[in-house]
Amino acid sequence: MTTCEKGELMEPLLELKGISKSFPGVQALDDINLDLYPGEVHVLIGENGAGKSTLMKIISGAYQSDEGTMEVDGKQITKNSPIISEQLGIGMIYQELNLIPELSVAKNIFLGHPIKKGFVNQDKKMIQKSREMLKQLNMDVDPSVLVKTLGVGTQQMIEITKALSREANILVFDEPTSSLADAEIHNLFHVIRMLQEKGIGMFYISHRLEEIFEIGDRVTILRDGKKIQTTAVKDINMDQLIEKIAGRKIENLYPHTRKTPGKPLLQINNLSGRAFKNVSLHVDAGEIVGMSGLVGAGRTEVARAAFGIDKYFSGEVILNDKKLKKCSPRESVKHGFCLLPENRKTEGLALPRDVSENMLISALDQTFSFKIGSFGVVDPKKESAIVSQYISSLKIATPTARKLTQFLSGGTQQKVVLAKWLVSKCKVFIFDEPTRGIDVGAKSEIYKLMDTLVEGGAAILMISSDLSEILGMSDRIYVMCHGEINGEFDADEATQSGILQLAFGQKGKEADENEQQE
Amino acid sequence: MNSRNKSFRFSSLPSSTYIFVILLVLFSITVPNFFTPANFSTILEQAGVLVLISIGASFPIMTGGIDLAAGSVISLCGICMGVFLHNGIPDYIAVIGGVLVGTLFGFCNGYLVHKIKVPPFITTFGTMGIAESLANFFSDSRTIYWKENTNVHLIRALKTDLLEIWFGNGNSKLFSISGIVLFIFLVVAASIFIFNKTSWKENIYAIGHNIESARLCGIKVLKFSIGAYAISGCMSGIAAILILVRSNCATPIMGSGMEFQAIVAATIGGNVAEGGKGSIPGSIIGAFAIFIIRNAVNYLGLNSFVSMIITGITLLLGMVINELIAAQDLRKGGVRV
Amino acid sequence: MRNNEKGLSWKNKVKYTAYRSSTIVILLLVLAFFEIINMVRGNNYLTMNNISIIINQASFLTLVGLAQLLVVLTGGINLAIGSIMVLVCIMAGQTISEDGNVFFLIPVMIILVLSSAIGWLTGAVVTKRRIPSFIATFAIMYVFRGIGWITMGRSVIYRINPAIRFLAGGRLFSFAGFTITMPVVITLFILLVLGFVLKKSSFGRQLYFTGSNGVSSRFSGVPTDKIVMKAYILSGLLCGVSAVLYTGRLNAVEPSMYGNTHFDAVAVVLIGGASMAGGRGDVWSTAVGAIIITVIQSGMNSIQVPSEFQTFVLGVLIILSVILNQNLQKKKDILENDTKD
Repeated sequence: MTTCEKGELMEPLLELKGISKSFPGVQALDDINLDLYPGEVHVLIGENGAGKSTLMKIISGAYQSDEGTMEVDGKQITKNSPIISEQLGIGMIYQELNLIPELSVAKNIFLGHPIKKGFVNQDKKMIQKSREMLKQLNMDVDPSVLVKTLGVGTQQMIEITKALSREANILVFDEPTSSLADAEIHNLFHVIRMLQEKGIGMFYISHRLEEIFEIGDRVTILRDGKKIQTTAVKDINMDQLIEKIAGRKIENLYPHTRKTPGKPLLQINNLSGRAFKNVSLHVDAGEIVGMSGLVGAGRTEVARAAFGIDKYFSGEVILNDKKLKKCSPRESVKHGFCLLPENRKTEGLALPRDVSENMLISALDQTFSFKIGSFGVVDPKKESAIVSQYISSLKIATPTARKLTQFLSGGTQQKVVLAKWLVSKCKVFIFDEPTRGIDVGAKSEIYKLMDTLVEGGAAILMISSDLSEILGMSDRIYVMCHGEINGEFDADEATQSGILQLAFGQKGKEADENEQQE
Repeated sequence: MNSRNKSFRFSSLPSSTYIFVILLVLFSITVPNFFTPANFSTILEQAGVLVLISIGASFPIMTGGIDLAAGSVISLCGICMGVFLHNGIPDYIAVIGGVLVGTLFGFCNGYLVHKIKVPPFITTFGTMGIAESLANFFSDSRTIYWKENTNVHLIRALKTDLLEIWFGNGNSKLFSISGIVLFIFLVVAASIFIFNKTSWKENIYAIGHNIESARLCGIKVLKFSIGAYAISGCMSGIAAILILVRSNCATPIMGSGMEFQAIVAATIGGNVAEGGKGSIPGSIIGAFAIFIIRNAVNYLGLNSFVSMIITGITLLLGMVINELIAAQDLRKGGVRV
Repeated sequence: MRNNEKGLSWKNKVKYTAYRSSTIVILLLVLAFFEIINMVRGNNYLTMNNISIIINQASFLTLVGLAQLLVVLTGGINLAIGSIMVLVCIMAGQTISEDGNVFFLIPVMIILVLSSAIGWLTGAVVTKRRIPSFIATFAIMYVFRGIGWITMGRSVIYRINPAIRFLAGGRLFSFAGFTITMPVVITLFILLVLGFVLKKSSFGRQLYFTGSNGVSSRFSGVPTDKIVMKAYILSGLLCGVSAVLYTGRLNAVEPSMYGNTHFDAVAVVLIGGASMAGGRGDVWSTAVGAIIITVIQSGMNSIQVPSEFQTFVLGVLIILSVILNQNLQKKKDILENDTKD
């Protein structure tokens, strides 16, 4: 029985009206209306970047909305903060758990508000109470055990217990099942149903569509910061869901034109590592190959392993017919293979250093006036020549080459990272989320740059969570799911829903038909 | 997935335990007269100072900081107490005054680190010099003595041989526990009690692990983070009492260099630089480990600087063991937090 | 578009320069302070002679400061500086004294080679075993102190080779009352060479980059472990140079020497504006830092302040200069940011 039927008669636990939030250059949320009734599981779904996490941060009080109101139990909340939201009975269960590994389960649950008598903690009482609370969630954990010894699923249960111990009646789950095994998921759902019966309302953010149909009462679809629809789960089916998640117009900001592909410059054969298994792909000269998939599918992990940052268990990486023998970034760069990392601020640049240094760091040998062995003396004239050449050719928006990169805009920073690799004369690029956090204007510049690169014979593997970017820029598209490549599309046959189906773990339509035939 | 992981982990015991056991076995075999009650009572009595400041050093380290000033604060507290005693102030007041000075100094350290946001290394590096020069200033760079009768209560109390009193005057004094040992035991017990039984442990761990989420949990971060430094200062003061009693005088360099030994003991005990973990017993055992090195070397009649070498090697070994234990944790599962 | 705008109003330019040279500002303030106090008392503080003495004195501090700087730039700290200095001299043994009757370059070479080797060892412990530099260098300090004591015991080596003593204090020439001594020349030479290496060589670029962000460096293909290693080797080498000069000046070798040198070195580096987090600091500011400390010491002596108080002042100065540097850094950054748009 869904609570929607009951819902009409009850007061909502939480009501968001007209919530809007913008950041420089991007409208994260636009006029969102959302409510939550006691005892319901309200699923929030949308692509990466649709606005789900911003919405959650507003509910938890980490962000303040620009416009709109929030009411809890009918009372309007004028100022929110993480501490206030907790007092209001809102409990957040984040994907990155917030437990202290070296403390016991009971101590974690009661962190910040222990049961005391005078100054002394009543450990036995806390252990006992923890045990009771955990039992209610069907957990048979010894509360005196250190958290670090427990598996992720159990840790998550403890996180839930922690929220409940603060008498939360609104819980927000952020991707709860992404690291859980099937048995643990089963248990989680059992617990959620129990909580429903207690009248606790829950927001549930997830990418796993099957779960929505298994556990959800209502579902709200977000896209590009706007609410598309809120509907009862029983009133929608899988295909309709995917259509609504994806269905936007693809604007024409993708200047990519298809070139005739040359020979394969990058070949990854049967690569297996900690977060991925048996990944095989290739990128030919002149191609932009998109890599799609949900967060956690393993795309970045594959990129890092191929580039040499992380070790992989088996498989090989071949660049221009040469197999990479050493697994190190240095080795890859020597072969003209480079990675523009997802976290460009912490992994792509040294923020305290200036544009010139960041640009030249991988190719210092080009700036030598003379060298003895590998010790080279840098010629400032050569430095500034190279740097200004790239500043102008990439149109990098900085007044001087001496400006510290921490003061540049996102788009400019990304260009500096790209410039670094261009200076190093790389021909094979992996772009991991190339336009994340970059405004529209700079985005199109980066796309143009990518196009120019492949026109010159480079090969680009582009990891992106932005579907329209993938569809607009790629010649071919791989889709990863759960650490494996779930399918491959040619640009002509790719559709948003097709990609999403594979990303969400559905088999492709072809595979379906094959199965039916069998 | 078995959530009831009851198999033994090396991390269940503080890492200094293993080092201590290794050293104990090593010395018991190689050093004559080492494994005797008489020696143990000597160790118990003399290791006290190191034990106390190792406990003091643990707190700032667990919050992710460090206290380099601890040794100089010992000198400062000792000099203050000496000056009080010299001027005829009764011993119990002098002692309390000295400890207060230490605690206050520690509080200032904590304030500089957490309110003014000067990095802990630099802060305590600077205050180390400040404390040292204050100690010199108040003592005129001289050793301070005082009349016998001003602190006779204290000395008598601390120096009495309790076992002798309790069990009568035996013919062969096999094992003696002086008042000092009892005193140290009380302080140690109190520290462990306060750490484990009040919210200190979890709050300090939380602060060391992630200060922002600690704040979000409703923990009064300032109280505990500044308090950690205050405790370090307080321990320095108490350690100063012991040195004072034993040597019957106060010198402005009485604590020089002790902060490093304390940090080494604490580090061996699992209180690693990043904070968020560690234990008081670990530091205590670490202190004993370092101390028995000195003790054993003395017994062997070797140059006392051999103990420096062994201590240095032990420290490196301790780090390696810490690492191995952490790796075992990672392998045995869980720990994704 | 403002791509090529370099415009800063002249007022801002002055501010900007002040922020960048905060160390020199501190130096000038300190100098002015002592000069004024002395003038009030009727003394002549800033005589050419005094200045020569200060510069001479400061050159020694500069050397250990540079040894520390190299490690601090990687984000670490070198607590073993003093003990390395004493150990290499002990191991050079009799060759270093006059009695040994060897050409002075032999002990010098021995010392330099040994100290670089120890630097290599330290670097290996830090990079290969991933032990934090604080602990690693502390352990090494302990071990080497111990070895030093055991090797030498209570004996002392006197009468150092006169050539070495000349290196440590020989007067070269004077003009207008200002005397230039060998250590000043040596230090100047090292400053020039090291400054050049740090600012103009690929190693220097990679070192600063690694210190600023080790992860990005590695991801950019920089061999970070090798760079850190080289930094420690250089630090060791500078320890060796310091050892030669300091020992020449003290005219003795005994195991208890240089017990606090590592701390003096940290003080020099901090007042010189380096950041313990790595990636910031340069040789000339470090030299100015050494001069500041020397000025304070000599200034205090000139107005007869006891030496204990000097430690006090130094402690306060370090904390204040770090706070000052942090604030100025922020202001400088804001200023730079404003000129952007």
